[in-house]
Amino acid sequence: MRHDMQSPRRMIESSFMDAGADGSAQVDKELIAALGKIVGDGGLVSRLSELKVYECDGWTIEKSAPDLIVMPRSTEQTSAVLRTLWDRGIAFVPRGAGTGLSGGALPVNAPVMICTSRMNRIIAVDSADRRAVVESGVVNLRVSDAAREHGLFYAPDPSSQQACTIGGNIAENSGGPHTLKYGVTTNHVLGITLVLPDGEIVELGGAAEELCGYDLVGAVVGAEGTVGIVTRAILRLIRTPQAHRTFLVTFEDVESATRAVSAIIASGIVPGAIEMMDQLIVHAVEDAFHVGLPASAGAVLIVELDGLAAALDDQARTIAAIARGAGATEVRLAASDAERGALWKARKRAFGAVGRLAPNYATQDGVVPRTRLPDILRVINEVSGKYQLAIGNVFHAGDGNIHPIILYDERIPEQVRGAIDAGREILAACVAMGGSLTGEHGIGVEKQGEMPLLFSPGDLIAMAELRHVFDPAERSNPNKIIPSAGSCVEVAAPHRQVPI
Amino acid sequence: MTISTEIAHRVESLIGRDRVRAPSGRETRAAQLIAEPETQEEIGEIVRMCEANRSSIVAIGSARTLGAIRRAPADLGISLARMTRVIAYEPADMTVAVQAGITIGELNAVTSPSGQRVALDPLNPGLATIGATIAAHHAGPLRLSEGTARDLLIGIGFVGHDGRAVRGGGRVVKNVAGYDLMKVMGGSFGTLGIITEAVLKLRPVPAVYAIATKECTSASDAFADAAALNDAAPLAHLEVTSPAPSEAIGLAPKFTLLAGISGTATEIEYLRETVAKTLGAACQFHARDSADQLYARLRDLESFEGLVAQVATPPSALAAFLIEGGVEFRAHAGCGVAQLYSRELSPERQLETAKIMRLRARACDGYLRVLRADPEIAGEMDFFDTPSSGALTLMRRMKGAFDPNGIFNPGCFVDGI
Amino acid sequence: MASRPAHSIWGRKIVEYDLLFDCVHCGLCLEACPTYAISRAEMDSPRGRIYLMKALAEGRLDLDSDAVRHLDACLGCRGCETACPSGVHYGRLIEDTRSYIEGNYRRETPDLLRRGLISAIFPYPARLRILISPLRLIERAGLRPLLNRMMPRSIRSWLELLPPLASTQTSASISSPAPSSSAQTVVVHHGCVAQVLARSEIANAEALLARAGYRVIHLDRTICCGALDLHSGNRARALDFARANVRALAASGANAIVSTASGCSTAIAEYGMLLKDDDHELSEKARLVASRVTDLSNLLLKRLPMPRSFSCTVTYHDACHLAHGLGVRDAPRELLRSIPGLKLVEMVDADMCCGSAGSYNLTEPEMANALARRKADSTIATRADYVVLANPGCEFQIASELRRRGSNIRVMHLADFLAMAIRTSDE
Repeated sequence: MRHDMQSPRRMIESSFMDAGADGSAQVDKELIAALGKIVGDGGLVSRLSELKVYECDGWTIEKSAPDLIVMPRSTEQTSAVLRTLWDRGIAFVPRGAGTGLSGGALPVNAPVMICTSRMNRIIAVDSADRRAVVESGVVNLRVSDAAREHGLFYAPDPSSQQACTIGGNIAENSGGPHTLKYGVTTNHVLGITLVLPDGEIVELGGAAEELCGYDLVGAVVGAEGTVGIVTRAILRLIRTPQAHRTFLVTFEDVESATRAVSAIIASGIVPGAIEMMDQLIVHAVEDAFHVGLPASAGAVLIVELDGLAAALDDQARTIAAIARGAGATEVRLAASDAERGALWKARKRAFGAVGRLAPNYATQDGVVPRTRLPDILRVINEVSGKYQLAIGNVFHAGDGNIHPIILYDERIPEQVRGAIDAGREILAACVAMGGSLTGEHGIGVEKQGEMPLLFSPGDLIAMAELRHVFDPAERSNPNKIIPSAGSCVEVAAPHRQVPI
Repeated sequence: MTISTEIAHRVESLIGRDRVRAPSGRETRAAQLIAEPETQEEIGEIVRMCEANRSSIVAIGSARTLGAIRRAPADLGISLARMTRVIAYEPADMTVAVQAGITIGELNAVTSPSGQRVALDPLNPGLATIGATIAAHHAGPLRLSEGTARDLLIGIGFVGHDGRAVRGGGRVVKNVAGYDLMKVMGGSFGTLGIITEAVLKLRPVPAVYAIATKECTSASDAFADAAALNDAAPLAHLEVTSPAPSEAIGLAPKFTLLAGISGTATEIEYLRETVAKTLGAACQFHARDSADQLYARLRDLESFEGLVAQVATPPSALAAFLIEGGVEFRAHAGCGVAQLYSRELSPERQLETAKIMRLRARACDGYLRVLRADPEIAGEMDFFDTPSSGALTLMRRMKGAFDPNGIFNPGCFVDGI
Repeated sequence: MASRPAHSIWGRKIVEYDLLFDCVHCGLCLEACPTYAISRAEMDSPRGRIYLMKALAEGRLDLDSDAVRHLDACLGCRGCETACPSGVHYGRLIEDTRSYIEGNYRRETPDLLRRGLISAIFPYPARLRILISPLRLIERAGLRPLLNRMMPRSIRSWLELLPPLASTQTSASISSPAPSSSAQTVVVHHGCVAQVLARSEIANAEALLARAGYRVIHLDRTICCGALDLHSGNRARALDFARANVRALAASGANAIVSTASGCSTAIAEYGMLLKDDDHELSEKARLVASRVTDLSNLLLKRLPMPRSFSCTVTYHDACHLAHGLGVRDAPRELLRSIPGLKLVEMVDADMCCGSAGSYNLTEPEMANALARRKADSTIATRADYVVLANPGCEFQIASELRRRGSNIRVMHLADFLAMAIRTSDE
């Protein structure tokens, strides 16, 4: 009876309470002692109030604390820990910094959490080969910091880059504004040290660019931690562009801004990034950070060109002309590095700024072909009217990767319901336009239920088979990505985000 | 031959007699019988039949890759010659969805009026199908600036062992929904399924392209110049060729550095200056038609008898490998990848040479793949290098998961997979 | 059945509940948190601590030793506020939480004693002077190293933090013009511990201000700003201190208020908020006083006649409350850069706490030492001759660690450094 009231996913969670299911054998004293021998007592978290803070990542709708957290300091320790769990039939969930937005680090039938945060050494920066060798707990931004003196940087730059780890980036195949020109994580990972669920350490790929056999590195990137634990990676570094031109372009409405995006893409110039913020977001960001965004704007674009200094002025003129042609009311060029920095800081922290507008908000992550941006924004506008909920838009326009932010108040039940349905409707529209359910946040637990919108059962089976190559017993981050067999998973709460 | 007659009948009953034929030319080494299906569904039917019969089946584009390395022809070849459609092309999205049998040349003819191209330049793009380029991870000089099929592929359709059509990815440039099946199929050499569709990112065709060449007295001089140049400017491509390949592309038989530059007129002006400053007075620029022709000869360089192999090392290790190697080469300097040409004709010596070069490649954290050898020794030659034992185990499991009965291009991949 | 408790069912009135909702659990604060940098565990991060607060507030968690330990471990540096995109008022949250803990949690005796000692002595300069006077004699006799060796570890680490007491003299004055009648007036708040252990910093700050053309006003008596109490949960006394300071500072009529200890200036700058519920007259005064707080570097920048030249390499450490509280980062650096011959090199994570944090290094020595080592590492890596900073606590903490390493990098307060540069150049 109780289960009838709940979504299958909730059922999964409650079944977690009944120990003994496959992969969820009990954490007991003997196990704690065995793991303590490997990582030292300081590397374990087993006390109730401490476990509590790990019960969710950046996706806060669903909560489930692990029974035990292990924080290994090396590949070898990770291997010994996984071997120990394997022998006892215990499933685990990997976690980096816990900044993920789809519940990738939420334990679902996984009693033990493996935290990579202590594996945070940058082992080498090789300027001749333009490679960095790092442990998976290294924070994204630290890689670029370390590469800077060599005139290099690490291209994927998710908005959480000041905190998120390379391991988490690999799991989610993270993007960021500058992936428009430089590609996402999978384009920048050449080699991986992977600890398989049974504890075996495998080296995949390497410093060379060609494949030797199947592209296992490519299969691990984006697998959301369901294939074992990545402890180390060889990353490709990119030469820092000679120069940047960063524009703030103002439009009266969203429509003309998206027209400009299409025109820029079609012009043959590939900007480093094209980001859009609509009026709601512009106000929130300006209130929060005071970077001089035009209060009257219906929408703004941040367009960044990078490359050879000699060529940028020409390109800048072209972009300005295109923008004006699409109806831009103002095209402002960042006058200094400081101004450019402030613009980007504001953009990357826009989500947080929205946190100041409403008690709760739900951030969606969908993708449409770039030419369909005006269409999807119209849909979003209609959805907003239909559910009487304000929806802000801040997104990677150049990639067609939208992030509608649905504002609501969790104390008003209709609004909660509305936020859920609005998010779903927008996602369904993305798929109908030839787009995708997620551009960079991942499926996790959040969108398992929507997967059948995009993939046939046959596609999903092939994906499950791929996962089983690495993890036949489904011990690593079980119950993620692929909806459980035969069920259309009900989503019980809005797509992000009840602040804790 | 009786097996193939039986198969022929069955395939004929599935797709009609006029689309089943005997192999010709290079195809004869790839398969005993060729079917030319027109749809994914037909391929599904054929695969289901092969699965039931445990007949081996391979996808064939222009039969160049597998024709060179297959030990014995497979029972059935699926020619993709009738699956060459552009499924969807919206220029403003800069993506294109195609059937796998279309060649890169054909595809570029479709996209070039919009100023766009699929930035993949394997040997002779007029023959290279998208399917083969993905499956064999073929790439050319442009890999330095544009990446490879691995970077440009955003969606894939293939037929799996049970005949079902499987799709991964999608039609948008940024997409992390589900496992990355593009990576599973990319570089799998047809051992996991038959690629039928692909969605690719397109790139703008640069307004201007030029190429700088410099004759060098030694390989080490050429690589030193290449390294300096790679640090000095973003290049479209950067090759070093040894004397014989230099001659084959119409240059003097010397160690030669070839650097492609592309961009707007202003960019080219700046790049020219930078290249000239870095390489000194001895460098020579080729522009317009002469640049295009030289680039095409460089890209399509394949006219050597003997053993052909491809080495991949960390970029900084490639020069030393080639300088001491004593074989002719075309090196993608900056990428750490080179094609090696040994004019050794004796089959035994070819085996020996491949073995030695492979050991040397491994010594510098690299791999060596043999692309072509005397057909006589195809049975003994390890065409593919072997990855670490852990990775190999996973690859065997991968094969087992996607092709449990071993019907897709058996025995032709890493370690006999 | 419901997985989340309803809003009305609160376990504890620990903090202003709505403030917790500013946190969207994004995690951007993690790397900005010094204790997370060391332990790399979520409960030692701002997000984790807010999560604990919320769980405590909702009654989902007991106020047990584990929860208290992680809340105690917060340095109160507010680096997280700078990193936070959502404008979480972390400082207020942790202060309120600590106040709640002190009122509702029974600490173990040694902990209680240690805290009691700090609370009874530090805010009162006279008491501190008496306590350290024997030490002054011992030092003069050259016996400090011996004394340190003789003490048990817990006391030794306290002793090692103390600067050489002989050097806390006020040094020779630097030349300054007589202030014009229209000159702006400034008060340098002398604080509590600072006026005993960091006298030269205060004297030099006043001399520099005079040189820059300000009229320096002296208060008859300054008392503790209350920050120490606020950070350790003794809110009642903090309010008393704050009120006394507001009255004195308002009466002084100074246009600007500075302190050589950035923790103090930040505390005073927040008096408006702290005393907002007091009677109208006082709360208005508090607001006025708070609005007049600035930093020495802001006042000196572009007004202080600079030395002709002073050749050396300097690295600058951001004191937490100066950077994260008052938002002052550029002015001190610009001042340093404007000295001809001086080369300023940035250290890694310059705005990461050194572990001093008021009395933190006395109550949480293990974490404090780990942070000091980290700070010393990044300082030494710059190969600078001097590390300049603007807070005596940081000065003692970093100097103590550098002494232990045998490093000859000199740690100097900005006021002392500028005064030295001017004197050296003038000679």
